[in-house]
Amino acid sequence: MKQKKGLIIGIIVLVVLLAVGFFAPDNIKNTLASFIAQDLRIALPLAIAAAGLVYEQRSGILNLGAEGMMLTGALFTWIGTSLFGGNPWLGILVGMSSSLIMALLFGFLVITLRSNQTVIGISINILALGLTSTIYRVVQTMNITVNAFPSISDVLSKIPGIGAALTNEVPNGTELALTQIPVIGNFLTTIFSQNIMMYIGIVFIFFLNYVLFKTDLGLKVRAVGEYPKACDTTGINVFKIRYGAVLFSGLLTGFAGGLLVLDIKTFVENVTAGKGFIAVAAVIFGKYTPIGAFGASLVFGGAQAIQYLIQAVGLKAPSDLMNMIPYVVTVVALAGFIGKTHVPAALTVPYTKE
Amino acid sequence: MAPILEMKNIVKQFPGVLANDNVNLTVEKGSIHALMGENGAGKSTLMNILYGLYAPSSGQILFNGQEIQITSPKHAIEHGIGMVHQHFMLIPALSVIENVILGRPENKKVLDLKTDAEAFVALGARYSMKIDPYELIENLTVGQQQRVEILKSIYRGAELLILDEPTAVLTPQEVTELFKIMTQLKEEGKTIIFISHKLKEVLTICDTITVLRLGKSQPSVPSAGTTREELAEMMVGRKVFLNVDKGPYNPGESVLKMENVFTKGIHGALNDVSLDIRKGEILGIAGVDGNGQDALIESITGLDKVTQGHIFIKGNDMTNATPRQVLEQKVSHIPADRHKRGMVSTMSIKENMILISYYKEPYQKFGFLNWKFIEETSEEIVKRFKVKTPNIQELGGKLSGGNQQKMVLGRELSRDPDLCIAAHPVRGLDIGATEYVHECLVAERDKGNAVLLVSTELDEVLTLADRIAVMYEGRIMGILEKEEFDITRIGMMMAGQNQ
Repeated sequence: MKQKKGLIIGIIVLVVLLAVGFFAPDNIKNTLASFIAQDLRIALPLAIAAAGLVYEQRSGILNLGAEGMMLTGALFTWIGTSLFGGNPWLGILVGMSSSLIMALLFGFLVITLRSNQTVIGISINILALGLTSTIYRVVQTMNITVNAFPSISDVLSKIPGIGAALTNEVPNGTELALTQIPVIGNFLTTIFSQNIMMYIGIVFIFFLNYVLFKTDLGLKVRAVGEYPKACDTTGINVFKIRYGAVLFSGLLTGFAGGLLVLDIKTFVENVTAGKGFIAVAAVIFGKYTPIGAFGASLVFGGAQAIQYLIQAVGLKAPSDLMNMIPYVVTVVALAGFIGKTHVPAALTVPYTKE
Repeated sequence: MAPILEMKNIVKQFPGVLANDNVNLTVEKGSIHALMGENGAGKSTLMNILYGLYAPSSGQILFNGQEIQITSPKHAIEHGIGMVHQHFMLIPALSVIENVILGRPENKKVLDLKTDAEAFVALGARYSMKIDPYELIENLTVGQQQRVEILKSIYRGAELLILDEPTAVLTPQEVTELFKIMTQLKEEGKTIIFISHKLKEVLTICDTITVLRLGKSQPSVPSAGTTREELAEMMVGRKVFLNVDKGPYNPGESVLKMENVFTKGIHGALNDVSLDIRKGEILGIAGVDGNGQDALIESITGLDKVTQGHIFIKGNDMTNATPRQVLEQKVSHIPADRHKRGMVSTMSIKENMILISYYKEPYQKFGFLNWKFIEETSEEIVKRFKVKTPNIQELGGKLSGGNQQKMVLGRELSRDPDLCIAAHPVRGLDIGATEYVHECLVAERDKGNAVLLVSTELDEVLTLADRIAVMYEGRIMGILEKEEFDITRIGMMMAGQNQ
């Protein structure tokens, strides 16, 4: 039932978008297309981090340190990329390893030592903010080049045989062959011209949703966050599942942080600016499902992308006020949503084996 | 027949407590075997050892003649031992079938719920149980959940099923149904260990009975030919009077009157409750736990707001009075949860004794407590109500459950109440302490005071009460006079049916 509601909203949104693509005048079409492209770009890191956090919270662990882990991942992706000559793939792996270490520390404290998850989460953020700022000041003189992930059209054009059919050669690279479609070609091209990680990421989020609800592992994760003692009596190792979820989520938050850096091609202090917290909010707003969290991330991403939209239509507003929008939307969304969703019953409750 | 299970010389030493002291238990294949005992006699410890939750300090477990080591519940399940815990090990937010297969080693990576669901429904049909495998557990009644638990164990290959106090949460009809299933399982060759402290049930359904007392096992007895009195004596270690002697029933004028009371309630709401308790009678409130009993007491004692209707105590309108105003009407309250509302565990006995009266003279003068007087009265109450303690300086939390209850009982009854509200007064108490608490309540009645007794133990209500009100979902389903007491009828009313 719940899933159907989301599906219906999704379909309505798609129909509206297509209608605009077909029938609206060109300037509105272009503005909307770049808004959607922006929204997706902003939403992806949120959605990836949130998908990991869904697993973590479903297993009963509230990770408010996601912000700090994301920040750590961002810094080390930046450093890693430069160490490997600008290679984003290897760079982001370095970033993920760093957040994995943070997650291991977090997991040890809250699972093995059963410390208060909220306190430890906040501490992780403070630790990460100090650590990344310090390291950043040391290494900022390094000559760092950051390459972005290849675009989808570059990747497609290299596929032997069909590559040429799917893409067009243009003066400074390639573009999707979607431009050839009459009427909505340019509209679609603007939206779909993303880097390859956008495509991998979205497929991955759907895959995570499938794993959570259709597999044995997913069932165990969901069960452990509800009633760990019952899991114990059926022979599930609660600690193993919780550690797994914490570490997996650590990898994904680091990955999300890396995406931020690779998107703006540089690191600045506190580059995450609360995105980790917004990801936690997306988990709740998305009803603890990876796809739901993706939808929530699109809402939050849209709130940020709307700045571009407002500028595009020539509306003048103070930029500070504009910057507030995503955070205001987060607060309003959560305030209107709290209590309407099933929270994992054992969330934040440490487990003690008798 | 050969024994399916032999537990030999099991010893379990906890820090400071010898929970199992050379316990021997032999269970025949295809039988229903009762395990009985007072609180702390070691029943749960023994079963937790069998289910792999505790490791025994020493001893031997033979299963189907083979010696086995059970180090985790997983092992126990692999050997064919299943357990239905008193607090169900089901996850409310998951569906029936998800719960059934949760954690099974033979699950495929991608779950095939449909196949399991079909097989599970078929298994249910064999025991005439209709089950929707995709329904969430939280939408099932307690009885249904219990049946799912039992079937889950069978589905996962249990040959020996441990049922831990399974009837505690059921209506009489549900108990009958449970017994039917147990009998069928037995006919199919399964073995059941039935943990209970209800003498009547054990004698009805079980073949053999083993009693544990103070961590030691008594020689097993066949249930045929054993009487309730003999069993009680085995459990307590002395003669026990199971029947309470009551004086003649002469109800006087009304003490508590509730007229069409509604509450919104933190613990469930009251829905148009009217009742009347008179001097010299015990009104029993029967019902399955969580059907508004807490809300009823909270509305009378001023702990919850009445949204509609009136409550009169001795003719005074006490609707929405404060708890102190109510208590000052000579109302005593023995709360359901004594740790939360009856006492302060970290305070001494003498301090616990004045929780209600500390502000009155002569307990205090000019804001200074009169310890001499307090100690004298506390000593007297401790003596009169047989609270076992080295002295009155002892912390309340250090006492055993039974003695804590006697302390609360002593404080409340020594205030010479006109109305005594007792909620689950013997919950968690063993037979000896239960006997004493019951005597005290009946003595209040015989003195001409009114007693409101809330209990989920139907037997307790039937023995003590002069009239019985049955509650269901915050409503009074009906009030029965003594001559109308009928267990089937009360059971129907407890389930919300009324003819």
